[in-house]
Amino acid sequence: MNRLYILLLSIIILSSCQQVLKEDLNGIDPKIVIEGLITDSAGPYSVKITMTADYYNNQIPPPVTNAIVIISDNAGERDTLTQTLPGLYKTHTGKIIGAPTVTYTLTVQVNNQTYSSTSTMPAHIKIDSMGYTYYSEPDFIHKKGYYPIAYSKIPVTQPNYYRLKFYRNDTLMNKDRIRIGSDVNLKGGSEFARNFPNVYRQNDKAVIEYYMLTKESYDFYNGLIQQLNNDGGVFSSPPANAPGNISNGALGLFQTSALEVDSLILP
Amino acid sequence: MASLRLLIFLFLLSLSSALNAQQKFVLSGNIKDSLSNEAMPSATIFVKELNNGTYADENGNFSISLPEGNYTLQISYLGYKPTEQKVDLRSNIHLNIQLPEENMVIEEVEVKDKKDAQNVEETKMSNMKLDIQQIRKLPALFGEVDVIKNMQMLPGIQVAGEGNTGLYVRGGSPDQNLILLDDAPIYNASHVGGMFSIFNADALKSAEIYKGGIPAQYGGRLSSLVDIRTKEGSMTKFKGSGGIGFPIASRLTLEGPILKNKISFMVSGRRTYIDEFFFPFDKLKGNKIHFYDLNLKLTYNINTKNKLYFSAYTGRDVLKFKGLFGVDYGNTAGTLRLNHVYNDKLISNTILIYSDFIYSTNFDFGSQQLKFTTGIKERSLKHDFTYFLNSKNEISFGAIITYRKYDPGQFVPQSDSSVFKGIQLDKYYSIDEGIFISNKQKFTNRLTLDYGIRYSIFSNIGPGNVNQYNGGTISSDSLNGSTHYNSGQNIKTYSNPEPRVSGRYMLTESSSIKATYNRMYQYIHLMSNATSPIPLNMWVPSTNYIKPQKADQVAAGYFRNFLNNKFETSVEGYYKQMNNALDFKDNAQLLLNSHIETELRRGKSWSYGLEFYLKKSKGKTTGWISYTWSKTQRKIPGVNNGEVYYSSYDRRHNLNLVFSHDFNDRFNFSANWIFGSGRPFTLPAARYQFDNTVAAYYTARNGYRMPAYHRLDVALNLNSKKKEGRNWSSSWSFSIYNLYGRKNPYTITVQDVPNQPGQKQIVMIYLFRQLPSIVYNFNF
Repeated sequence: MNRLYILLLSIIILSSCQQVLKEDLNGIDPKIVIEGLITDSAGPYSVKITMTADYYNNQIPPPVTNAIVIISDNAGERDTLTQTLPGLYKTHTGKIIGAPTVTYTLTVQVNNQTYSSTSTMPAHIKIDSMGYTYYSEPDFIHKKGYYPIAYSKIPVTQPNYYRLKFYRNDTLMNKDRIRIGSDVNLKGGSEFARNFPNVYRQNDKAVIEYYMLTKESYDFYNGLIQQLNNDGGVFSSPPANAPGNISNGALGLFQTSALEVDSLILP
Repeated sequence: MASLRLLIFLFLLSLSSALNAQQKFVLSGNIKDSLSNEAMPSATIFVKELNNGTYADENGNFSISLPEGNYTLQISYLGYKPTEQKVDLRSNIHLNIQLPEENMVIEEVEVKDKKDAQNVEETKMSNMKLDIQQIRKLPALFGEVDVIKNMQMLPGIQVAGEGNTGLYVRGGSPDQNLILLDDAPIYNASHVGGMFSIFNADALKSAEIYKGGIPAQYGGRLSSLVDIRTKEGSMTKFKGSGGIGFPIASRLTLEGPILKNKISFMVSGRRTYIDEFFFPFDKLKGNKIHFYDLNLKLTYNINTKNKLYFSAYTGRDVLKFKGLFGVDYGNTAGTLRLNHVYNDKLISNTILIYSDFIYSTNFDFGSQQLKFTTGIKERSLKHDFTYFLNSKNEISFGAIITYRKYDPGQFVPQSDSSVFKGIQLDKYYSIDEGIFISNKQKFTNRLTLDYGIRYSIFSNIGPGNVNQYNGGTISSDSLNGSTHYNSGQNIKTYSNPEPRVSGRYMLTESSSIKATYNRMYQYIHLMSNATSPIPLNMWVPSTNYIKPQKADQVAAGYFRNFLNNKFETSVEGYYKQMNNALDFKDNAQLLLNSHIETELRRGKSWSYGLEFYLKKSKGKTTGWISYTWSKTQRKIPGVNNGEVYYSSYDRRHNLNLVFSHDFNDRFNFSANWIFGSGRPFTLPAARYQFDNTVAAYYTARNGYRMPAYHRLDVALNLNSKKKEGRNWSSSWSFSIYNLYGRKNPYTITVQDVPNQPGQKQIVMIYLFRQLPSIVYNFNF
């Protein structure tokens, strides 16, 4: 909503200008960042452990290579992950198996500190079918071409949260634009048409992925989106950290997601 | 409880007839504009022989009790020719005094009398009155004369940023100002997200701001009272005025008698037309962006004892993007006021007040149409009395009762087939009462005290559902159902005494010291965590969980005039502490949240500062210099890790220079220079990567400062030649905003460096560099 006013003001002013400032930032002692994901697709699942870095410094995040990473589930399964690349830890085939309603616990030990998180995998929603709208003329929002649509029935059991990924010919289209959604405000049982944000051409392959999220994961992504959208202006709320679900001050998220995928080849 | 309040109210009403004691002779009267018969509020009445005086009330009425004798009265009012009148006081006398406008006077009148030392003599402090005629000459953004923006150039008042009409008074936030338009509170006093205030200067008679020492008859907001009054129409002559401005707006005001010397009207309108300029083409047709204001005032002189006023305002901002969304918001306010003179000593006002603010957005996603609305609506009845007990005591008392309805948000699909459920948050209701009494008492020729108390009672009432929480913590996790209250049922009542004291001690004829203390309570709260209020204003009352905000403020100052009151100076210091000051948790969800109390955080906020003011209001060269040093901090558990942080509108230094010079009757040049040191904002302390996103890690809230804000504006005003017998006069006003093109920060944000994904930079966005405007004004 805030962006709406910025848009409004921009129109009034017709031209607002920008200038780059060089501000010296007060650094901090680096903190641990954990990015773990378990889906109900076949493993192995991975946990990435890195450190925070200087804000201006566009380097590969410093990996944490001396961590002991353990994932266990509420059925008694337990796996100590193996580091396959610096900072990237993977599960072993046949140990932990991702499934909805199972509760998983991640434990990371680094330099005598233990960071942990628990998450219960949310259930699927089902994509019923795929379709598209063809725009023969470009308009305000659309280019000329195909805009695929994924149809699903809104679950009666609510709320459900999800993260969306859209692909065109195996290229992730919203790579740097996280899209999340929830059905909190949607009528359970009714049909929902999910429009793809990008244009597709003839014979393109359109793929949509629904990563079902827990409320905690949704809040984390929402926090990230808020950060990216925050323009720092007088109409914006003060920028804030994305609220993670990992203990002991580690940043990041341990996400467990049922994954729903569907695809369509455009005619 | 309710019946007790009713009793007190009735008691105050009956008091009016009981108070009738007489001792000395009463000299009373009414002061009016000689041409229009318009009342002159706060006009000065000075009794030369006794070195003593009084001020007229908002209706131009005054009363003073004097021993028998011959007196010379000096009556003066800003912008009018001072008048002397001899009185032989041997019985109670009532005078009707008419003041001619200053610009009708051929020669310049040098005023030397002490009555011009009003700023030194009155007990009021931390108070500023704008001279509407004077501010019309000053440079204005887009040529739109704006009283609120002029208030921002006064000491102790901060501005959020470029083109913003929010008032940040002595460390207070913009929702802590009681902005009254003819006694009706205005909930959102701005257009275009703050770019302009809703007050069309053409319609205004006076504008006054109290930063402290707020009179007992006003309450409900912590930080200031902004008292704006519209013009009364002329009782004798039909007149009009208006202006055509480029690039923003045009105005037209008409006034005159409906029944000569009995009933008059004033109607004033303003509308922007930028959409007509820029969207005339087929493709953009149907898109809208404009605002308008409409003021109406009717005055009815029923008889010498009764005067009836009706004032109404409505204004809207309209924004529409065809096939996408539309936004529509604005205020409607109205008052009906009966001014009754019981006798020479007792005057009362009975006021019916209505005000609402409604915001709506329509989303149009083709087949899915949605409407979002939020708003607030109130009705009040106020009854106040002024009793001129004797020459030493002036008592004011009365009561106000307000019924308020809050709509925190409705999100409604526009068709039954919609996939959206719609969210309809419970509305809130409250009854709000204030009972007040104060006395302005003259102890000696030097010492006058104005002391009083307001007792406020606030009840959040049904119908409504009150959320219940487990284990005493208010969070979405501990939410456990709700309790239903029926219509009118009391949910939670708060009642608090609010003492108010101001005192003045004259040191010499042209210098005084003053001090004031006031306590204020605020029972309604704006749910916005933006620095500047966005038009989407959601107000909620104090509830079981949302405690009233409280402020205690002390201020003291030294006032001194120089060179026969040509120069007015003052130095004021203040300390203000606010308890239960509101802030919001990180990532607060304020929109359509049925348990909004879980998002709030409460704590302390304090502000202190020193304000210097030098003003010259007479002669060809006028203007002022104001300098403020101040500091505003907060400590709120749950925000910034519970550590002290600077509030978002904390600026250490503020300097305003305002200058205006009349070369002759026709040419005027004016300029203002504004400086404010940078306000705080938040920047990340580190980055981390998550997925493909570079995320920011924040440590301290408001840990950085924006660059300083400063700019110079200039204006040249040209009046048409005055010709005998011609009723038409006109003027041109040319102004340039930000003459030297300072790049002032509007916002500062972190962004990706273009074409270098992952590389971040800090970018300042600025709005206006040199911005010219032309306004043509006319009068007939």
